[in-house]
Amino acid sequence: MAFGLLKSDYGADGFRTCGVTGLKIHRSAEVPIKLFGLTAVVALIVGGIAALLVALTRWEAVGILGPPDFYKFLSLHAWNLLIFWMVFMEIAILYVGGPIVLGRRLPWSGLAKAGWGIMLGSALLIEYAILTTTPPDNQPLLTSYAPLQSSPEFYLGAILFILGAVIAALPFFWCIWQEKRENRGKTLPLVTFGAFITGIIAVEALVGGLVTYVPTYLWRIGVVAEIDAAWYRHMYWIIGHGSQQINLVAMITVWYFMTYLTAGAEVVSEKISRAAFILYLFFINMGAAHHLMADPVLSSQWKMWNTSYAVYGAVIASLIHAFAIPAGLEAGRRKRGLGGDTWFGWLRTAPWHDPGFSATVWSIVLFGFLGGITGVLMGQMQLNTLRHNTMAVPGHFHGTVAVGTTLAFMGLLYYVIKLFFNKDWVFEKLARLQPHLYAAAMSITAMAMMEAGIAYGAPRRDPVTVQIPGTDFNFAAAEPMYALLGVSAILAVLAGVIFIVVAVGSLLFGKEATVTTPVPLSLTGGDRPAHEYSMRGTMAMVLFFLLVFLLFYALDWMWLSRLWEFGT
Amino acid sequence: MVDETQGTGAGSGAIEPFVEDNGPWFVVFMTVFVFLFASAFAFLVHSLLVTFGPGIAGGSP
Repeated sequence: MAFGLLKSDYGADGFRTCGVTGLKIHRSAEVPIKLFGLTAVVALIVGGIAALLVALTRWEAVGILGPPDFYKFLSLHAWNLLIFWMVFMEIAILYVGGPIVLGRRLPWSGLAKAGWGIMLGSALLIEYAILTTTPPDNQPLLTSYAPLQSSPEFYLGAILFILGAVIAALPFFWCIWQEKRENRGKTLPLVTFGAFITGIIAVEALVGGLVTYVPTYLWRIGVVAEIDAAWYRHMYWIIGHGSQQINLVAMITVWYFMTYLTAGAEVVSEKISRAAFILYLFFINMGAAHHLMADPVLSSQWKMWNTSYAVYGAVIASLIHAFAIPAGLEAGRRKRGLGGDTWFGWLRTAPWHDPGFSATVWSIVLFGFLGGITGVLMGQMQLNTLRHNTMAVPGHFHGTVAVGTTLAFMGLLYYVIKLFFNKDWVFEKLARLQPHLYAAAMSITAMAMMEAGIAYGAPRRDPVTVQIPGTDFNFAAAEPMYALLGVSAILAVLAGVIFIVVAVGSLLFGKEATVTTPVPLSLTGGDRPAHEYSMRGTMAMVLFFLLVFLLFYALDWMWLSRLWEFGT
Repeated sequence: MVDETQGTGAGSGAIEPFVEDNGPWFVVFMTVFVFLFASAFAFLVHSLLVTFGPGIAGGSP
């Protein structure tokens, strides 16, 4: 059955033509996409189970796990959802953005499968290391800060996983190289360009990972006598946050792709969108610096340059995409005559019944309001003090990764099931409901974490949430936030289960796809270019977003001014 | 929400491509959207109460 899922009907040249997009799809690209996509879903299942256990421990009235098991499942949760679910999906996205969009073979497809095999094997090694860790080794969590030692198998697994991802990315880069060699002077499609930028940022992060983990592994097995903790922290965040920047750029590439595929969006300015991707290339990794704002080793000048100057290059890129994508949706739909000439008719009549579309839009909206705004606040040197090491930090990255990126990848997977596996969705009504339920529940989860951190200064990474052992700190007042977190996390996991049931059920029992998109791609609309159509609805929405941004920016400075009153 | 079911396809004389109706799902989206913004506003008010009114909502530790 599993191997049957990897088969499709190809012509003698190995290509088939997608019935919806008209894209030429070669077997060499399609099979790896399916492999990486399926493996990502398995990681989502494992990470989701761990998420439920962690959330029900944070909710101390339930307190399902003791401290040792809490750190074990927190490590499993982090590695499966922040790394495995994301990176397996991102390699699949590189192959969609490269050979599929360009209508080419995936060169070195054996290398792609070898990369997948190494990544899978090393992911299993990391899972094994986490499950079997005993003192004096420590659970790695995500950061595995030296000189706290984790098991040798963990470091080895991390090194091999990174190597596997680099190997899997090579065929994508070779594909781009071939395309440019054969079509000199021809511009890459925007989705391919976004995937290319994603790939470069990925390699930068992955090389940083090797620089970090190889010496740390040598230290752990006794080849190197000691390791500098400050050096480790500095190097680690090249991959620690760099891996999340891969998520960001891959997610934005998916936004452009999915709004086009499902709802008739167009790109209103190719140059502006490409410029925004290039800004990411130079500035997005500066975001990693915010993890080191309380680090005594680094100079204030270093911190100020990275978080009060350079990071704005990345912020402006995000703001450009935040306008360009909904503007492309509005202009594209107006061009096609969809929704009339009112301010928001184009939005009201959009395909909200389609889980690929609704998941994408929820991803855009909630990534902006929850993950984006808090990310800029945390990435700013002074304001970082307010949130550092509190529950507001996981609140932020649940807004980015658990809400934003995960919803974008779920939306993409709904269409991978249709377009690549050629299966219709089973339980279609549940599929339509799922993005809305997940968006609501996971957003409340993230906001409850933020509130516990901001309002009470509740610490992160602690299984005990009320009375911190060995200290005078008591966070009983924050208990309602943890209860809210627990209930909303249960609902979010339920929405995740619905996604898995629909995805796996469709693969196993789905009928042959009646491949359509809510807005047919053949509907091209008027002859005028998209940018000549009104974008007033988008302008109103982004002004509202900026108003909220400004409000929370001002509030954070107000709260920062009161920080020194704590404990007096 | 049927005002979109007829597209304005460029190919004159050809059958108009069928655009799907979104049924009640825009209302579902808006309901969740309003719920989330109301929740965010409630969190904000709660934060301000904690900040300015010790004892009202638990106060800072």
